[in-house]
Parts: sequence; structure tokens; C-alpha cells
Amino acid sequence: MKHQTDHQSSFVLLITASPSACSTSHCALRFARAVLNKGDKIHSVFFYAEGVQHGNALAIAPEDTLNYVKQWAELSGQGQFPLHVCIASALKRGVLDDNEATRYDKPAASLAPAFRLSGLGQLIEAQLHTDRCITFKE
Amino acid sequence: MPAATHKRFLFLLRDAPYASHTAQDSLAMLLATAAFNQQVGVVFIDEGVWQLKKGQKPSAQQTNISAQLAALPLYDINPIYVVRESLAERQLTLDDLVLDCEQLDLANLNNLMTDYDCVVGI
Repeated sequence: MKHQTDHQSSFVLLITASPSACSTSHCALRFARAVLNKGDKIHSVFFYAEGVQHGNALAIAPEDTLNYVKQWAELSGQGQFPLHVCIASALKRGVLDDNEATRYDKPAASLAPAFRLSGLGQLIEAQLHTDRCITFKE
Repeated sequence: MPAATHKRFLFLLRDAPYASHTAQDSLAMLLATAAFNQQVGVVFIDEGVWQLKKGQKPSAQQTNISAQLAALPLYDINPIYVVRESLAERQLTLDDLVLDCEQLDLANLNNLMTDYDCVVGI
């Protein structure tokens, strides 16, 4: 696909909607799939505010609903893009990686393996590197 | 695309100051963007104009948003617009606000957005 690089559009996705509150999460996932199917590029996804719950490995999706942790992990592998979770938003909501769980003496880590804790700087960096930032809010 | 080192960011702030955390989360994002030496403009629109209202006395558990907004010019954040119709619908005037803002007609918002590389509204 290298020869297409010049014509590829690149996107960063900013997701602030909670996965349990509305259909926005589903829209974001479908948008991301459409971008990859079209041969365009997703630079990264940034989960902010309630959106950080997308990376909560301890949430249990009812059987007939989408498992967002699994879906995003698969998509991020397929499109080779990172899943950034805002650390300030995440700590407030109990979404912790091993380091933070140890640092704050909490009984468990909850961040799913495909996701990583990052700062807002990652989002700004991504916005500088891409054509478009698409926001998914409630 | 090649990485830019600078872009122009326009933030649309449209949420009431204390009904949710959105106003605070937006503010954190726009201050971070300014701290990364990016050019930041702001538009207060709809319920977002209440963020600028003078005389806010939030409870002890809440951060006073208007006090933080009053500092925006210190971070070189400009221009700061407030949508004329949003003020009028709420019977507010520029004198009710903690910041000197430029009034923006709703009809000109589209044009303004096309001037910016990145429009952010969460």
C-alpha cells in the first residue's frame, strides 16, 4: 500500500462518550472500520473524560452487546494504531494500569492490555500529525 | 501528511459550567493545547456562555470556572468570542461577563471555523 501514501487521509479519533451511555461508541467503532476499509489511516485514538471507560478491562459487556475492549483491541492491531487513555480522566474513574495500581495501593489494575495511559500532549501531537480530528461525544 | 509544528485550534465551549464535568474537561484541553505553543481561539456558544457569567459562587467541592476563564488572556488565548444570539437568548450582555469578549454573529461561525486547522468541541 506504500504507493498510496500520498493520497491517504489520516485521522485521530477523540472519544469522550461513555461506552454505556449511548450509541456514540458504536458510531466511533464503525467510523474507524470505515476509515481502514477505505485504505485511509488512523493515527491514534484518544479516550478522554467518560470515554476512558472504553479501556476498562473489568467491565463486563452483556452477551448481546458489543465488547468494546475487544473490538478496539482488534481494530488497533489491524490498523496498527495506539489506543491512548487520558491518565487524569482514567485515575479519577478507576481505570489503572499496573504501575498506577501499585503507586496508589489499589487491589487491582483495570486497564486492558491493548490500551495505554497517556497525557493530553499525545492528543495535541496527534492533531499536528493528521488531517482531521474527529470527536465522538454524547 | 508531514507533521506540522503549529496549527490553529478553535475550541467551541457550549456546556453549562456546573451541570457536568464537560466545561472543566474542555478547559483542561484548551489550556494544554495553549501550553504546547499552539494558537488557540475560543467560542462560547449556547449554554456555554454561562461559564463566563460574573458572580459565580460554586460550592466548596467545585472549581470556580469563571475564575479560571478570567486568566485565559494570560495564556495568549485569543480571540475569545461569545455568540451574540446565545447571550441575547439568555438576557445577558457583555457587561455580565468576566472576560472581554468579541461578539460573533451565529451566521459567521461557519466562516470562522474554516479559518482554523482544528475545531474541537467535546
